[in-house]
Amino acid sequence: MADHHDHKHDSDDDQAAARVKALEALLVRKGLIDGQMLDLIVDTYENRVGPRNGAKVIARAWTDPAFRKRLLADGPAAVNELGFPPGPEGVHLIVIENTPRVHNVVVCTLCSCYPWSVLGLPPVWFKSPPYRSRVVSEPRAVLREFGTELDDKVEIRVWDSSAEVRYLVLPMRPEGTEGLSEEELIELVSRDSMIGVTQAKSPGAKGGSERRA
Amino acid sequence: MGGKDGFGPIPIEENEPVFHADWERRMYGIGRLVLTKRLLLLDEFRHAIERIPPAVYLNATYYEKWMLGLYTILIEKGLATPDEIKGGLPVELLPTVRLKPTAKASVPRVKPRFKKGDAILTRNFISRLHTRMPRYAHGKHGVIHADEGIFPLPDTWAHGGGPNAQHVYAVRFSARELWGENASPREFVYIDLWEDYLEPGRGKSTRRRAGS
Amino acid sequence: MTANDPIPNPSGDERTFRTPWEARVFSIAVTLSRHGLFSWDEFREHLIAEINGPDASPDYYQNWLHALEEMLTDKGTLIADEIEAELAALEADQPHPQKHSHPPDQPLRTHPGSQEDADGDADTGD
Repeated sequence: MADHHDHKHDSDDDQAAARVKALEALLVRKGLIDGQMLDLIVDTYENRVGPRNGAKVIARAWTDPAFRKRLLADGPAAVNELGFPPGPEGVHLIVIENTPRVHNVVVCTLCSCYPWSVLGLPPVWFKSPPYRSRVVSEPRAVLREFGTELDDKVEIRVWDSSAEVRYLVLPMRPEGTEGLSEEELIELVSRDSMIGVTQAKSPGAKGGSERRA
Repeated sequence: MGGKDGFGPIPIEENEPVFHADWERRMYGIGRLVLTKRLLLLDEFRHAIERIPPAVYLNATYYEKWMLGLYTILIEKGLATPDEIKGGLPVELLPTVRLKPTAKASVPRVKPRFKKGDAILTRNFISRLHTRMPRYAHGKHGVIHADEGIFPLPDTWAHGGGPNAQHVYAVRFSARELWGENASPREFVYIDLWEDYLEPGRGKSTRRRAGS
Repeated sequence: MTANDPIPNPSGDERTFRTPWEARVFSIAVTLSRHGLFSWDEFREHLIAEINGPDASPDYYQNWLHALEEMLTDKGTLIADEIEAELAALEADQPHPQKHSHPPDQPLRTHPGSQEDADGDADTGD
């Protein structure tokens, strides 16, 4: 029953909130953390780091072939050019490009590893058991749940970030975007397209993903 | 703690922490510098901090802990004697640390066992110690896609068993290998695996022979 | 939640942190790691064990909190039951525990445990 579930959820939240408060008080008393530092980090990941960083990288790659080459050869260096230094999750970023013949999608089956510095923190679905277990065994079906249909002839590569490397998908540039500025292109690069569960948006599309013929 | 700044500007990071005293800011910068310059591994630094006696540890602020950790390492690596540290010299020593090649705790040069195109077979672990190989990938045939570099093995390192640094590879598995004959022939899973998890596989290697 | 459940909220249109405690426990782990108490990899080991273990919670950050507590206790940063003792002490100070509600527009910043006012030094700018 929804009511019962909500009550349990609330009381679990209350318990967790109390524990976190206790944990923080202990750690502050031990001189291990500082409340202001915590505020900074929360602010960083709520307001300053997010998928728009990655979208800028992708849009640049679409318009600048030399940058695209550098991005594919050395992700962290190229990303750093745009002013996004690596975050606490590490410096090992690999960018994988989608082509008409190959479509890439990323997962962390073990936990929730994600390229924070270019995408911010992962959405709940990315960390969920159904996504993590099903995308490796039935990627086409999972992509369909995100509205993405891929032709059977397209090869799908699922990247399981089980070690230190974090993957960022370079989606294909949508058709009909030749005249668009880099700023306009940024708007077409959704977070989901950089994870690989969707394509980039078409110009004029209402936010959904592009359907392949 | 006095001494001259002999090693250039200390880089300021985006989210610089709050410092309560000037020496804390310098300690932070020193700590960052030695880590960035790979004079020691984060793990060594961390372990040194952990070995601070509890009575001291619980009362020390975190920059005091950094200081103590760094002193410990300087002494253990033979870069400073306890007397020198008592005399307040360690800051002057840092340029020396930077110049001495033996002071560098660089990533160990370990030869890779595999290269792109090699056929491999993943091992079949029973124990729960080997945590970074997803269950679905145990005992499967795959092909090395890329060598991603050298990393410490978390199975041992995070449990106090030493870094055991080795190559990590992106390995390509076909869906049919992982899920059975009914899977699509056009789906593949790439998993990043430590060398210890892999054995040479029998079967066709896709590596081009020299001269062909 | 199991693998057989539907993928939750595929639109992904949610806040970065569902509750203030999630934001707090996340930033505690990141801060401690940045200050060298543990490597991120070490924390990840505990997180993986928690998420894939028999006591896994369907809630991601509950697993995060448990993993953090376990790791800190293992390392001796926390003594066993220290959190319970602190909880009891905090409760003793609060005879009337409040019921929380988190309206969507409530700012997530809280300062539990910090004594000073935040001052301008904390602002990083871009």
